[in-house]
Amino acid sequence: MTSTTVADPAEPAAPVAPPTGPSRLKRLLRPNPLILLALPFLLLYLPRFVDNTTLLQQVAVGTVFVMFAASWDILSGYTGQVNFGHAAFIGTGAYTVALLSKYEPGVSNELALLAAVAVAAALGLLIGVPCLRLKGPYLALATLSVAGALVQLTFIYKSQTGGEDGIAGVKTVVDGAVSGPVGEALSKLVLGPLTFGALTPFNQYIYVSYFVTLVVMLLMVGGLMALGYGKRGLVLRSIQQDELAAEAAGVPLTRYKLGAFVLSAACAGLAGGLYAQVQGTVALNLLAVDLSLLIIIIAAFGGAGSIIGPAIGAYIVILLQNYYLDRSTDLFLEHPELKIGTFALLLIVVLIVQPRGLVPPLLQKLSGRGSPSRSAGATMAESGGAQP
Amino acid sequence: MDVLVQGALTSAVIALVALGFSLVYGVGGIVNLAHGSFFMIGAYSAYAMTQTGAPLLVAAVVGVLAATLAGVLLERLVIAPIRHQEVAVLIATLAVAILVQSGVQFFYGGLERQLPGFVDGAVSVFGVTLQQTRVLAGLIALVTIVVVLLVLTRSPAGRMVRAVAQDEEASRLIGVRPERVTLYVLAIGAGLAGLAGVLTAPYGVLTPTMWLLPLTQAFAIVILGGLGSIPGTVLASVVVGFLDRFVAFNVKDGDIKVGLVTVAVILATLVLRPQGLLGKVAH
Amino acid sequence: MRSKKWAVACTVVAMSALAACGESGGGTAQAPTGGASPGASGAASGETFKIGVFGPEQIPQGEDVRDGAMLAAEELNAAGEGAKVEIVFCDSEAKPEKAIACITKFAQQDAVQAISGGFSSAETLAVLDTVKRAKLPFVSAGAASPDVTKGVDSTGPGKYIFRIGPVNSLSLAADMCVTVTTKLTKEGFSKFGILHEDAAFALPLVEFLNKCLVDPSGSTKGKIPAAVKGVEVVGTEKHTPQATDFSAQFKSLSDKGADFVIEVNSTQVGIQLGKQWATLKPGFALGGINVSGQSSSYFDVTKAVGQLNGPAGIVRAPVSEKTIPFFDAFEAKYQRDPLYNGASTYDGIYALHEAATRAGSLEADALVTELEKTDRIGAQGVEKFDESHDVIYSPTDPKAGLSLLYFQYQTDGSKKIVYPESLAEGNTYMKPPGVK
Repeated sequence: MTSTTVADPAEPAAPVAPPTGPSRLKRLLRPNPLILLALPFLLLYLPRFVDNTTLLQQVAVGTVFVMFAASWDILSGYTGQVNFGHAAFIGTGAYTVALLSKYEPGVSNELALLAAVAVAAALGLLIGVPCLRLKGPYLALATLSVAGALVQLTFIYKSQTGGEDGIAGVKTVVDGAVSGPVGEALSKLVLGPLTFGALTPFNQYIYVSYFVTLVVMLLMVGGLMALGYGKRGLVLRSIQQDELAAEAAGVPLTRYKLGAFVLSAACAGLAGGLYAQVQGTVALNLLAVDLSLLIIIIAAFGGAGSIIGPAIGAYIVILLQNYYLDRSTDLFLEHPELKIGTFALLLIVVLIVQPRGLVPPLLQKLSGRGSPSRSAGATMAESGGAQP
Repeated sequence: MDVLVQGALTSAVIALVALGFSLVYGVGGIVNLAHGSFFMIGAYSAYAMTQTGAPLLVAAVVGVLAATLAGVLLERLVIAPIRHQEVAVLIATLAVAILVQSGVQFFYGGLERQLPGFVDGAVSVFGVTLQQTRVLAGLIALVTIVVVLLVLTRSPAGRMVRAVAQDEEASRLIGVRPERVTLYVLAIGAGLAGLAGVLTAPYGVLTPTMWLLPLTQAFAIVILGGLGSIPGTVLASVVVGFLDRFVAFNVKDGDIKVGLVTVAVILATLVLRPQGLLGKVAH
Repeated sequence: MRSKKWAVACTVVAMSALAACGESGGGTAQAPTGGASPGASGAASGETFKIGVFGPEQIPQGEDVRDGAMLAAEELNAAGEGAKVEIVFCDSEAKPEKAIACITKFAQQDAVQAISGGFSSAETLAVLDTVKRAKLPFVSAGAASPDVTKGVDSTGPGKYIFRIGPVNSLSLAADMCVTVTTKLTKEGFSKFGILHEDAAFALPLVEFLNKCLVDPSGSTKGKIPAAVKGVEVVGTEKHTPQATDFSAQFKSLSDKGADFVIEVNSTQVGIQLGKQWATLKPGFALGGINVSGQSSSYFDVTKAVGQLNGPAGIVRAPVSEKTIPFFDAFEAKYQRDPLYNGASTYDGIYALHEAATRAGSLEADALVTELEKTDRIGAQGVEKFDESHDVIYSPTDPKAGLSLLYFQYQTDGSKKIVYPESLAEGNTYMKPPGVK
């Protein structure tokens, strides 16, 4: 069931084993485990060695963006239903948490997150159904429009949502977990050995945010990778490669396409809700087209269809954008728009030269394997001629 | 009456932008998300010229030429290598739009700029008071559209374009080079969008994000009219233009709700009748 | 296996690189910040008072935050008394998350002793929790939302929050109500329309206006005297912050017979509004809150002769003895007129410095105590804080607090104050061209 695609000159014409469940699974995972474990290990011990809470706060933001990008990838990178309005799911989760915090402060943080997941998943279902029939530019416009509609609605109901001011004073992660005496003691016990210097109320907040987001992200990305590199992942990819053939082979298209939508939405909603609890504020930027575009840039840059690609891409882009570029030259400090411009330029180059993105080929090199296991990024780039 | 007059003027200008977008899709199968950037480049280039003291007419011409040049560059550098990868084209052209926005913001900052118009003051048309620049813009847009349509339907060049639009492979057999035609169409489409930018700038503002609205409007129009149908594009432009003004004037707080209405129209079309009003079912 | 070695090597390299970059990139973090800043006792000369200032540098309003602060620092350092002021500016890009990151940087990396600035209500409200956690005095100088000082008192966690300007939006609304019902009615206007930006800050203001204009005394429980003549609100219209065409709203209001339209907007949309009003001449006078209208380039673009602007925070007039010198200094250094928040940030830095000098310390709680006692003359006027640390607004007595002005654009583009009469220097309101 290989599609006729343009041969990539960069890859040697090595024989590709046909996709047979477990052995392919092992092949894909085997080179990676050490590298895959290196990253979480690194992240877990970062606060111990790096005495820079400003940087750590941005790493935490990066962690949230990993979740944004990974949730996008399981839908758009895998099934090929490219979502141009992913911010809709993120913002829905974030605003759900914020509105609950504003109107029902008695609701616990954990419950609020569950609500965020539920509402976002419902939105995913609502959007996914009509989008089943749409492809390519039509799907792009539809998803873009839905996000745009949500922005408009947020404006219209501004007395509840705060309009362009957003909602401040959202109950934060610290308000939930750390407040009582048990929480305090626990956090001191856990955070103590994991962090650099003395704990103060200010940096304790940053550390708690850091670790909470890290744990959630590892669980989410772990789950998505298990899914993506497993049998179901293959099915999802087959939908992108050739939908008609997949259907002919017996794949229940609706279930998989819709399932991907709902899963993507649920994960994004969780991430968005968590982000609201970390920042303590939500605003329209969480629904805006800028966010959707940034996620696409991150994912395509990192390598769509591999989960790990967008994940690493997220850290690279966010840390560059929010921390390192500001400190490199005054140019970026005085002209922050150049940062996103640079990323856009890099993405264009990547799309033309190496459509698989940066990370999958790199991982392949590191694992010493030259034979290409096609990441869906390439197939996404190559599948053309979509009909409305 | 306000709705009629303003609607006509609005429709003419947005049709100018939508036409270019539609032609590029019809001919090359390319959805160019950087189309709004041509609009912006036209306006800002004209502005840049006026800042050097050049007369307005020169500035306007430069604006259109700059947009056309941008179209050529886009086609040669970005689109040609990935022509047949539909999703890659979507993402790449979007990235170009962001890149252009960053560039404009770098040179001109977040401050809104004003472009002086050819004419000043107000005029009364059928009892409706309007800014003269607006009326002029609408008239020029109308004339341009008529010219473009005539060229498309009557001239040999137009026939070539329509041949490629109809069947790319077959047109190759009769000696037409679709890649060349795509380049020309993209350049001309860019020029039209740039002209629209130059025309509307005097009664609007120039900001680095001014590319998004014309793009979404053009996209909406082309979807409503039917991707690949020129008459559909024109018809949809009229519908969208009048709808915009109708809602603004007749609905309470219409100005705020126009955005929502446009989105609703797009979504309704995509769900109920994806081929649009006059479009063909498959490309 | 090769791959294992690669992986280990990469991990080690990455960790050390990140650690190195992290530490050298931003300077070593200090001991915990908060109430007790070590070694910051005594604000004698030679001591450095580091103040973090944040704002959206990309737009003119944000530039004013930075420039007002810098000007104040320059003047204070030139005068040489008390601690040396060092301003650390952080671009918030008007994004709440960026503003929060700025505060974190101020508190952890830059080790500032106080914070000032902020422009939009959105970013200011978003940083309040972080400021409380950092336990640093914050003198807000741009946001008008009443929520900034909500719940603040001398003892709670909010005690670090102060607002030195502008006057909060509820007071702005009250002042507009008074001006309309007592002064504009005397000019002959009786049918008022409202045209406002569809923005969160404008809604409570407009809601209040709608009630107050028709029944000033009843709606404010007698705080505002009853109207002399009947005021009718014929209609309220909205526009988006990006609008470029107001013909629909103009038509609606003029059809309803409005002779004066009250505008409320804070973004650059005010420029378009003024320009269209001046060009189309829909037959009514225009005036109100138009922040863009305070800039020096506004008239060149709009030619909005007769537009009334207010309540405005600052105009080049002897509102206080410091106002004109501030204007002149600002213009000399930056070649443009300051907006209202340039003046409030300028005054904020001065107020912080004076509090530090009185306290003899840069310690946060000491600064807070002295700030509460602020009673000074700034570029904005007389500045004192109430129990919620909000600057006091005094409509009648310019010596008791800030007063609000209204100026009108003349035919030659100059700005002349018309209200209050005490500052008007004889100028009176003139009917704009095209208005009966």
